[in-house]
Amino acid sequence: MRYEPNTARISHEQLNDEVIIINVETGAYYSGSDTFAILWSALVQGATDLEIAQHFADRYSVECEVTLKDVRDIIGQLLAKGLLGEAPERPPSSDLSLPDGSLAKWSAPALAEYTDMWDLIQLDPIHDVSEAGWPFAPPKTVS
Amino acid sequence: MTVSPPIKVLAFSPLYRPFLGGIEILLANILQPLRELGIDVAIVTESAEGLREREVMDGTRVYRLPLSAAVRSRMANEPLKVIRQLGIIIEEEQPNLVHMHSVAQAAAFYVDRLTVSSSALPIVATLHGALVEEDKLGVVLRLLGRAKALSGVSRACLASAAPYIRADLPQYLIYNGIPPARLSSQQWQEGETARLICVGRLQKEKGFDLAIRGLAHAMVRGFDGELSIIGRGGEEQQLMAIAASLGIGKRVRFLGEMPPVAVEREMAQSHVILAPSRQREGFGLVVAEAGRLGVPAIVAETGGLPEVVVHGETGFVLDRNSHEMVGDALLKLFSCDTNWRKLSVGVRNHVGQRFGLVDCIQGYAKFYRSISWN
Repeated sequence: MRYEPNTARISHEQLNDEVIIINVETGAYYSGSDTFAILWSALVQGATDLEIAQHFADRYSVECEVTLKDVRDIIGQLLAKGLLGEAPERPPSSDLSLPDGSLAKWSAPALAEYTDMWDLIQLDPIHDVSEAGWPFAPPKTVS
Repeated sequence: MTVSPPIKVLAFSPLYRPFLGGIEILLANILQPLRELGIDVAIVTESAEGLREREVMDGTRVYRLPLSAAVRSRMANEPLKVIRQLGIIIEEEQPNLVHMHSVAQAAAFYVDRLTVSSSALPIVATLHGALVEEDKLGVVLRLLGRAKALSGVSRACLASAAPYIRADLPQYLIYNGIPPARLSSQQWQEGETARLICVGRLQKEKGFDLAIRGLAHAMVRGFDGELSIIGRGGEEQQLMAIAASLGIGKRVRFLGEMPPVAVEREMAQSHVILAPSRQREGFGLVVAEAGRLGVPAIVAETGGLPEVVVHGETGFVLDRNSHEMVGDALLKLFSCDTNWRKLSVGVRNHVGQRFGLVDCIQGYAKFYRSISWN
């Protein structure tokens, strides 16, 4: 099975070993690093779950059935959260360009979920300041 | 003599100078002395228009990043850019630990991400306000769960964290340190108009409406006083309307924002500071600052305020949400000048003894040195 990001609902970006996915409908943030970043990169490039599991098995010298279970688990989470959809079948991927990852040992791809980011940036329990400052506003820039 | 190894700290503060809230004033007071103790603190804070992304302020390296703006953008590449910038800062700084000044801030997301991938970097946190139910966010709980130590600016702050932290987490009570006073309060004498002051953001939580109503309540009973309110906020018009409706519009002055030196001058000319807050007072910095000058306080029993004010000795600690109690406390405080003088002397001594700057600096040094990062 191949998959594709649900671009109608999400904004996603990858930088080296870190991926951030934002559900722009709900405001939820998702972030994952290392093996998750490799997995997401592979999914975006159209790799199947089997192809990704095989890549991990080769990369980390682990049994493919182990990596396949972990890959299917995380893909299941991505589908359940509406971040990923099924893609039409197409010929097997030949040359995936994937990040190396920094882990020496296999670690199942994991996704952290931040469903309360908006609440977080609204919280300011300790400050007697607005963005402009209190009680002394920052100096105006002299032009 | 044992020489402690140097420590490098990367501290996250929601704002930093030239902003001047409670955390900024604390950091301004302690960073230089901490450097002299071998503890070098660099600051990561919110970017702000007109301020540089990087600069050195009085020997402290300050990094300003769009922590909140990147989240607000809802564009995945914006927080990633911030994470990348933070990674560069960590490479440059090589900190031994990360210090969160308040956990409920936008930086919590970035610190969570960074410490997931750099698990060797320990986190410590300081609570500058009491945690409440709405702070119970996933990222806040995760960070508290991973913290190696926690400090609070009052017992109330630490107590508020109890439901969110593991029982064996080392906890440190470090009261904010108040520098020695440059001014002294003017003595109140019987027959003189009592000068009241409130300092803070003009919002409902601060309870300044209760101060105005309390003044009116006392004046009906023969009290002679006037109130100065320093600060700004969304409630200003409402507060003005309340004063006018009670017929004391001319007895309440709204002074707006003022630089710290002017705030201190206004405090020194006051005879009592009122902090009838409804909630969320971690410490009560302005009450302690006024106390250092010899200005007694009338405060609500909330957060850290009862730790700053000793009822009957340095001021009065009242139930929340009662303007009648504020008015009655004014009548009691100003019943005779002997009574007022007793509390004025009491508060000056109390603040000097309990909230000394040296104790505060040593408290943070001990807090940092308690962490093992190898």
